[in-house]
Amino acid sequence: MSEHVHNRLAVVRAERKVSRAALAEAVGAHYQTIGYIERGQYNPSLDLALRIAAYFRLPVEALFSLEPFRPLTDEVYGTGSGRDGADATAHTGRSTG
Amino acid sequence: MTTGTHGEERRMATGTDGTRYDRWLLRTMNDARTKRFHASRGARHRIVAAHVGTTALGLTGMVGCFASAALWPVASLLVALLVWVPLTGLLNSMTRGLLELRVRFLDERQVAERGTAHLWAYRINSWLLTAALLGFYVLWVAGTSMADLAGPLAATGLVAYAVHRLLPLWIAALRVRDEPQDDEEEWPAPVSA
Repeated sequence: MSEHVHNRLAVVRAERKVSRAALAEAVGAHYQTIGYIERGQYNPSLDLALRIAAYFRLPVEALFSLEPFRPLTDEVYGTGSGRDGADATAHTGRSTG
Repeated sequence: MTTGTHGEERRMATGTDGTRYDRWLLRTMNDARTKRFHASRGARHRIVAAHVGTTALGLTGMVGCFASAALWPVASLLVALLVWVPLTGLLNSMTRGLLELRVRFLDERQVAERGTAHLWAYRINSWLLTAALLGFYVLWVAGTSMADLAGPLAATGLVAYAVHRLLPLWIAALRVRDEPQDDEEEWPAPVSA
């Protein structure tokens, strides 16, 4: 089992224009913790991961994965790996987070 | 924090369920104005080294006060104290109050980090105490009288107490990592998700 949890929190946070401090306050964490999660230096508990996902109103697997994420553009436009479509989401390819 | 409800987590983050002192401590420990003093790894290491040095100087002065009638130990103790207090503040600031705040004001990562610092400190201090105990045992077996060992025993006890109290803070400070670039200036008004 992988010890490293991949995430695309930084990408989603930037896209939604949410600061680390705002997200941290909303989910009851320290802003440094958000930074550590984004840099892969800390794996959040399931509880915190679910709260972050709920804040962005996304399924938790859209933000966190045991496998590296594909670039979002690949997932949206189906370019790059050739495995486009809904079946190829989130669990294969290069990391974006 | 893994068992807390969302409401509890919110209170923890804002410190609204603490005393006035708790809230003041939380604000002080997270004061952004002190960031520049310990932003780099090198600066953090220098602060820890300086704190260890002033602690040693202060302890030397404290032991000297009892061991001799000279004035220099008092002077060294006072000088060390003047430097030690702000350095301790910087250490607490760089760890964001990891060892000072109540557990309910820390998030899950901070609680885990606090546990790690205490664990390492416990292990290191255990070895130091074992080494000191063996050292005194060897001296006693070699024929040193208990009267001659009284001074060193008292000094060792004082140092062990200081290390017991301060080692977790030094370890926690050494484990602090660089913070990512602030993004608040880029997005002054957070947009609701």
